[in-house]
Amino acid sequence: MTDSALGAGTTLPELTSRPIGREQLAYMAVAMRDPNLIHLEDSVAHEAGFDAVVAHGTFASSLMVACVTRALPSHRLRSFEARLTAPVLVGQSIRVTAVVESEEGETIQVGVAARTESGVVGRGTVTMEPGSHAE
Amino acid sequence: MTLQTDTETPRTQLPDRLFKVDPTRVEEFVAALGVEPRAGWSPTPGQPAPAGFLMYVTTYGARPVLDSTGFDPLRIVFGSTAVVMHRTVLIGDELTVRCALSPVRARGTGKATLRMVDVLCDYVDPDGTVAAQERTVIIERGAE
Repeated sequence: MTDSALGAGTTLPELTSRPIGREQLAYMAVAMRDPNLIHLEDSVAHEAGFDAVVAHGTFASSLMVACVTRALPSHRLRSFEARLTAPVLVGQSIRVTAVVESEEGETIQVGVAARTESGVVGRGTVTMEPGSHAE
Repeated sequence: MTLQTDTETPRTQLPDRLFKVDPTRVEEFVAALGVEPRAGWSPTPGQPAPAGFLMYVTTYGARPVLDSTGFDPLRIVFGSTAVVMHRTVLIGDELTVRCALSPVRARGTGKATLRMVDVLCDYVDPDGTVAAQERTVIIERGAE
């Protein structure tokens, strides 16, 4: 996708994860070195008030950024902010939508939203600028 | 562009830790996520690290934050995160993680009280330059 095609209001291609399975949660716990059993053990999740184990927040936040870096060169990523508003439970898919909010010179600000079948689980902003490292 | 933080409020500075953006860990992270940062991406040194990889749990560890705040891990939720890249962080980079905590804030009363803390990480190059900054807000839900 070229910058000239990225005026405000442009919609980037959606990104939908496969349903997040227990194996993925275990893999993420290892990759992040996250010891929190709320992501792995149903009994612990129930004790914390959830119906099932909960996906790490980084699934939604990372997928929101990935939706943009899959459309634009990732070395141009300058910043992102993501606010999570609801949990993602095991077995749910995350669908991310991204819309260019502003374009000023080579700086592009993209609004992103993550949803599951239960509704919106997070929103954020990704800012892309000219990068200093070639890929 | 810098991460907007409250520089007036005293912070709890945790000991620095070294962190290598290790290709194997990045590969594990992307495999877990199930989505590559971009088509054709590979976890080889010199490639940009996925942005979501830079999070204090991964780079610094959750335990020191829990120990310092006293938060109950069963009641923690991830509130928000903000990352500013001053340069592209690459696989293979070795960074010092300079981690600080804001004072714990409380909202609400009684068993519904939410407690929040900002985890602030500077990712520092060997020459002392800040390569990236992260602010993650974690929330401890009230005991119900």
